[in-house]
Amino acid sequence: MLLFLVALCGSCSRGSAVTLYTSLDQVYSEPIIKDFETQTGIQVKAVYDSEATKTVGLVNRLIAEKNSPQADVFWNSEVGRTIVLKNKGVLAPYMSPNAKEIPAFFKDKQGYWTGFAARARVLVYNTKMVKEADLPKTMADLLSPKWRGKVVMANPLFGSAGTHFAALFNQWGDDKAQQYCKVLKANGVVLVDGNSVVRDKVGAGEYPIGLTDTDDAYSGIQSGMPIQMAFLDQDSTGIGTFVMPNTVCLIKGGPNRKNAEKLIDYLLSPEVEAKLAAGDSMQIPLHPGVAAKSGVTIDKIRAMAIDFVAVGDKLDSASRFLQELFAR
Amino acid sequence: MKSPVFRREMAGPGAALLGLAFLIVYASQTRLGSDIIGVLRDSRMAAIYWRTLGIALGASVAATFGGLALGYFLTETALPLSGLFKTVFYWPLILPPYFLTAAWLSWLGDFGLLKGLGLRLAGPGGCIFLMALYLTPLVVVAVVNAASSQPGEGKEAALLMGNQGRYFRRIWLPRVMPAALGGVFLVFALALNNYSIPSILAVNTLSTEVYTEFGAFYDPYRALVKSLPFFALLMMLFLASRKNLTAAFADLGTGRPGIRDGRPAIRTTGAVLWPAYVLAALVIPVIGLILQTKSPGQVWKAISIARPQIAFSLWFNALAAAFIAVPGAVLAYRHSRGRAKGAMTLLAALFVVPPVLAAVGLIFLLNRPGLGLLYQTGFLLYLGYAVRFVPLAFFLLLPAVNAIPRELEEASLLTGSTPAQSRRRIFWPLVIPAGLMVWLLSFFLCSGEADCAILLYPPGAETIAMRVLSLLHYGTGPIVNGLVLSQLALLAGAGLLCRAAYGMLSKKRGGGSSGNAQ
Repeated sequence: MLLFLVALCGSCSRGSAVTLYTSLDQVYSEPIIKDFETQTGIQVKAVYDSEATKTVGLVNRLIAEKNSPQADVFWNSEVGRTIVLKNKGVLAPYMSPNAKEIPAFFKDKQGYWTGFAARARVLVYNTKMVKEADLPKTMADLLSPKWRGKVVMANPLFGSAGTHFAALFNQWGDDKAQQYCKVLKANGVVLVDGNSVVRDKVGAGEYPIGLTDTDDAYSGIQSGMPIQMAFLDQDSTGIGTFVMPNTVCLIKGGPNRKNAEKLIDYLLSPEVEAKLAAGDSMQIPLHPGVAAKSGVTIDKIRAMAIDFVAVGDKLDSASRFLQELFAR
Repeated sequence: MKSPVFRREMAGPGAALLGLAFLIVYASQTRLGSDIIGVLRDSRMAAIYWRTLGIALGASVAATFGGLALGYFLTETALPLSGLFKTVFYWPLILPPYFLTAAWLSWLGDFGLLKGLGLRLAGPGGCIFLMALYLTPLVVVAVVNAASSQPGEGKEAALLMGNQGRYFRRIWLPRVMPAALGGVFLVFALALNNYSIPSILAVNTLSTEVYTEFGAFYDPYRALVKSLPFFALLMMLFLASRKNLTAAFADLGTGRPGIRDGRPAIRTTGAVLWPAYVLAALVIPVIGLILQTKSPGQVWKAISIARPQIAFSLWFNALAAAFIAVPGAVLAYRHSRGRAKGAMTLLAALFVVPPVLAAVGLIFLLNRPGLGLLYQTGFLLYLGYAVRFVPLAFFLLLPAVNAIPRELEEASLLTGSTPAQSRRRIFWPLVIPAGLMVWLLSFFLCSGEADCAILLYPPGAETIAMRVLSLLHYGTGPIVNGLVLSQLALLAGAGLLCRAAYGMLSKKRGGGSSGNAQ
């Protein structure tokens, strides 16, 4: 056993390092991490999440490790679960000088988390099956009998779909949101394992429309699938589309505080936003003046006006209702 | 008055039943009890329990019939290419279950090569199909080993008194059935706790529910409450089948030729059934991967991308498998020699705990100030593997250990050896061939393990299984397929090396001794 421990010690890093947990897809986050390593000489020991457990695997790990934190920084691909972590006392405040230009709406007032490089929840549709003019324009339109059994979305207990529904509960109130979900279910909405699966099923022509994230939709469009995407609730009377930033936060009691701050500063730099916006995930930059490959900037879409903290607080009760309704 | 043997035999189950009774009494007096009752009364949970049970039973029944038939054809008929089938039949265990699912989806999924046929791999039926494919080798191993241990003379006598069918019903089936049932228990337990197959096929089972409880609500307590009824069920099944379980893997990896059934109809059925199984469990998924990989360059690209993960997985899993096989052998030895009698029940309890729950338990227990090294070095991940696979190593090695004659050790002690010297000179050399097989199996299982690893892998040192699972986000594309193909090639290489080493050791042992461990 001693020999085993000695052998394992070979895998321990020596020298300057920082431990990062990230739920952003590895293909997008890994190049950014490598660039940071090259620029600073600090080794990043990363733990990634998989699609099946998107976000929640790492969040649970962080909660379980609360009394003896192993991570220094959490880079979350959405915001809801970051607020859960804040509420559970896992995070420490840190206000990065690089976040000054990011709109206050996307930052925690006390500095427990900072948003950057956003994605939006969008309607993805198969261009061979539906004309743009016939598309639903609002979330409420998905309840129309016209779309019975034709809408596909990711399991709303997890990831960005979960946060999106918590936002709807927060926006509409529990009664209206619960009624909406019940009718959505009665209308035959199909739940799948992740947002990329939504894209694939729509791309394959199995379903004409679905709810997914901009990065998933973009990657499908880029790979030649017959799909396009549309933002819902964009009328002046509409609630707006749900826009969620990536969030980065410092872990309370993490072992490498100084390096953690350097990593957070780097992630919140316009340079990283530009890279994420130019990459295949085509994230929407929040720093003013950063170009977006997709042409979609935060001022061009009508975003849902929500209180992210309230959304985070709503996650648990909304998810419990959705579990009872959908996970049968 | 009961004999000491009886008392010894009953000690383990007795302790387990006492423990269970204590748990029930304790539960009835606490919130846990009312919560369990609440869960059992919940119609939604009842539906999930029944569905899970149905899938596990379906997979077990399919694996039982499949395993019995395949085992019969392999041991009792003049099956063409039987040597090949003996070599490859356990290879489906190389394919991690999540990837077997993805590989089959590459044929029957949204962008599947056979999508036009209208066949769908979905729902509980899809889960049963894939779990049966994945777990049937466990029953085949049990059946082959039980059948191989039958004396050839007995079979000759039985055939003289009746025909092959009568021999099958009266002799062969009763002889192998206990061992087969032991294998079926393992299949049932593994199917019940399998997460990746129902998760990918979007079927809500107990394992996905437990994961959701933990994953979406950060509530390990409710995950525990929901797991306990099936945990109790599995423990009761274990107590009922513990003897079969140890019989299931007797004479691991050995087989003796005997009179073979050469009737054309039987031979043809075997010649159809075996290739059909190997096709479904191995060839078709791998061909699907190859076709969707498109070019060898993609395999190289995949290897380049995941070189650190491949390297880490190879050495870490090789080491972890060794430290699974060794404790398994030590525990089997102590159990076999009348010590550590409760070990079997304890190991069975560990074996039936849902992996996600086991990982959470390890984090809560061991992630404490001052113990950070456990995480950073990957030792916690090893413990996760150990919780899952040491019990299996124990059950696989126990018959081999039991077959080592105690007289040899006694003689060694009488000639002045210390117990440690005796173990070094007698026990370890004789257990090494079976230990090698268990190491290989553990290596395969660790290489595909994702349920515990997802929570326990060390920062900066991802396993290949985690990398594949992460890349599966993009479907079974060229890179992920290339990665799995390279993984399969490496594992197959390790398997062939191990088989060669096993052959050499067996030959050496057979030539150098009287073959006492047989």
